[in-house]
Amino acid sequence: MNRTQDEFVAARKPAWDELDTLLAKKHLLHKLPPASISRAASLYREICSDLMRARAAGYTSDVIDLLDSLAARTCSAMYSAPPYRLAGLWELVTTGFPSSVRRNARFVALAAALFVLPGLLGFAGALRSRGFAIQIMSESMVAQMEKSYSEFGHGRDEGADSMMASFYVYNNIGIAFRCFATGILFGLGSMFFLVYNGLTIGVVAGAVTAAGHGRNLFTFIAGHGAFELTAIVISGAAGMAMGYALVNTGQRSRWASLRAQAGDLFRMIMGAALMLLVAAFIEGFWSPSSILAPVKWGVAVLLHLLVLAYLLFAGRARSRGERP
Amino acid sequence: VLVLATGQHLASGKAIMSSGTLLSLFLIEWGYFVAFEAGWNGTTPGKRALKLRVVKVGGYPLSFMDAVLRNLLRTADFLPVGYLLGLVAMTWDGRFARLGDRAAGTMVVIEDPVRVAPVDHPGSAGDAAEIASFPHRIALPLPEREAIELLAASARSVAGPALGAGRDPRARGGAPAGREVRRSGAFPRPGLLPGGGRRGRRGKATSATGARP
Repeated sequence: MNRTQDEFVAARKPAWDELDTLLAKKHLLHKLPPASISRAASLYREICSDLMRARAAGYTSDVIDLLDSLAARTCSAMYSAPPYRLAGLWELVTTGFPSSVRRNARFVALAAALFVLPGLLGFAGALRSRGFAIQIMSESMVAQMEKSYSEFGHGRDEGADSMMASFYVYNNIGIAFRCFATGILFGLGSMFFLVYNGLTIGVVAGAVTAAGHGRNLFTFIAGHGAFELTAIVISGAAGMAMGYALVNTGQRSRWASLRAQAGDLFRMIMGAALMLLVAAFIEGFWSPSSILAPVKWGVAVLLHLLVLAYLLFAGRARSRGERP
Repeated sequence: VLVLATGQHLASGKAIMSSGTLLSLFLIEWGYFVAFEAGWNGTTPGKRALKLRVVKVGGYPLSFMDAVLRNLLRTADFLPVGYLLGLVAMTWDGRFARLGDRAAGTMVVIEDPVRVAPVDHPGSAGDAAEIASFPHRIALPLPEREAIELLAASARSVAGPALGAGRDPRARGGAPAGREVRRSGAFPRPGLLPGGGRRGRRGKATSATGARP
């Protein structure tokens, strides 16, 4: 069929105008009657082939631009992203996050090792010599730590508590996000953050213990540590899983291999952020309170068991049902 | 996490910032792009002003998950300073995608608002015989004609709307007159439009996803 451009435009223009009218309802294509939707779908296919024909025949670019724009608008009206509902958050908490963590258990184990071993090293070193501690951190920093844990319960007033809780949200979730994101460098960034944070915390704990205030420090950390330290390890694990997906691609391109993991990575980092949110509240309001140490330790043990049980068992039955 | 220890002296000292300020800082730093890109079909106020939109590589809208991933990885793109790594990554990629875009499978497209000038007849430019002597349509390949059009468009934008607008003889009796047309680049190709090999005027990534308000 050999038509001139004018004949082509004259023959096809009614269809283009019809689709244009249907699209004039903007985002609401899905709210049109069913017949209109299927009409729009078949018009979309027609316009795509018109566009190809116009390109192949070398028609002038105003026709091609018109068709291109029309096809693009139809495309974005037809294909829209699934909305993010509150139910998605519930699914993330009950099933998605813990099962993604379990699927990536070896990365979690590796991340935990990269966090805990430098921590133990730092603790032992700082306990033995103050010189070791000030190699890792500045002397004034170490002195500040020793001073701030010298008394039990810090007796902050209410305003300071909520300020600190906000600060923990700002700082700790930020650290978790950075720890995850830098995993794109083949996991190296996440490893660095894990080792660095582990080592620093170990050194602080060692120095404070050496100064004789260890009980205060550990009583303070014990409650929120279950959520906070676990979440940092999980965010590091997610970063390493991301880096590993770039290395072990399994018949895919590097980026396609990463995108195959994207769902798990997303669920792990979002879950970690939620855990840090919980931790910030505990750390802001519960940990510095002047409640007796045995009570705090009891609660801390309960919280640790809770986190462990949650990550090990939550959503197990359902996720098994979904993936046979 | 350092704060698990270091925050203590902040509390014992004076409250430097209110909790509202801190939470706002957090939400602006991490939430702004995610909230707008996920809820406003790939745009933020700034992107709207600059006629930019984030879409999936396939041309369809990005999901909440994509918005989260591409914006978390902004941190990695920033390294070591001033988005240097992101810039390097962009030079490696045909769509000029930074690391966050590669990971989320998204790209930023230009929704170029330049309009095709309304079809205009030479009118008083010459007598009837001269007009009749114009060929009905110039037989040039598409890329060459596009280059001529681009030249005419840039002449128009330099010299004002009067010059060049009606000088294009092949515009006679063209397609829909006076219709607003977005000058778009490559329509998202993969899987949607087989055979659409036309390149965008600003490179591969210039695609217009159309006039969605």
